[in-house]
Amino acid sequence: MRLRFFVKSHKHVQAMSDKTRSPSIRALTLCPGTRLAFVALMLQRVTESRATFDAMLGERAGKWNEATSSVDTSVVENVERTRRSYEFWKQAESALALLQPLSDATHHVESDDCKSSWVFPLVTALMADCVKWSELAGDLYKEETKHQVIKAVRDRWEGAGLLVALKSDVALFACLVDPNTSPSAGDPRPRQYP
Amino acid sequence: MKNAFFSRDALLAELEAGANESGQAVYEMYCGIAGDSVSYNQAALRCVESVHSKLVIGECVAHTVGLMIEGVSNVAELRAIVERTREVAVFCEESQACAGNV
Repeated sequence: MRLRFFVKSHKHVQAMSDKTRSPSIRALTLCPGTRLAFVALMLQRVTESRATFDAMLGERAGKWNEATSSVDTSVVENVERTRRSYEFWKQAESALALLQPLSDATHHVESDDCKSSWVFPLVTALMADCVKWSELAGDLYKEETKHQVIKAVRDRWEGAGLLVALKSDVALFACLVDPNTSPSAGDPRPRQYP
Repeated sequence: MKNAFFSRDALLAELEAGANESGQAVYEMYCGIAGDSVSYNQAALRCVESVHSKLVIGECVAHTVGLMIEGVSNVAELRAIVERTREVAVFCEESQACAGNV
């Protein structure tokens, strides 16, 4: 078999790849770049560590300077410029506010007990989040960027051109018939899953 | 389309095998299939739908939300921020001085 790569991502795909691979199939396993939840994690770690970062690169950072003496000067200067940029930290925090809910949603829908009825309210909420983000971002980002962000999410949901829409009758039907996502008129609030 | 036919045959074989194992019809054993939004996967799912019309065919939500993140991250201004953050993260990771701090 002329299989060269086996792309691993979802746990079921991983299980399938383990089942399918055999010594007779020469395949190199790749972890794909489409698993982008790490972007939010990286932004979170860096923005949360700002104080530590300041302490390390600030005036009292003698040991740090010794440790980075072997690193290329231009790299150190770049990082130092980034650290001092007020705009960068604000933009990074804003980007995190946008990407964190998307990242959380990925983990949420990958959980074992995820229901089809969650899809419709989840993605609707994500779109509302993006719209709210574009309103709150103010002057940090250009108007064009804000429109592109909303379009990127909306196109995946509603479909555009060659993009297949995630929005489907199945997701809407599941949402409507699930009492946890569509409570009847008499219920004071949606029921909680045990 | 070659890939679509390969995926279709593999899916149909899996469905039949599962149904035979349990001694039930395919639509009694399975309620549906979800696949990534890649065109040949979708084409394969449509082929399966034409054979087993009672199955619900959907998209992989986790994959699509992942692609949403990719779409958002690829917007030029956000991409620049992510790249700069990555630069900082790589710099810190590679430096022994801040290992364990950042």
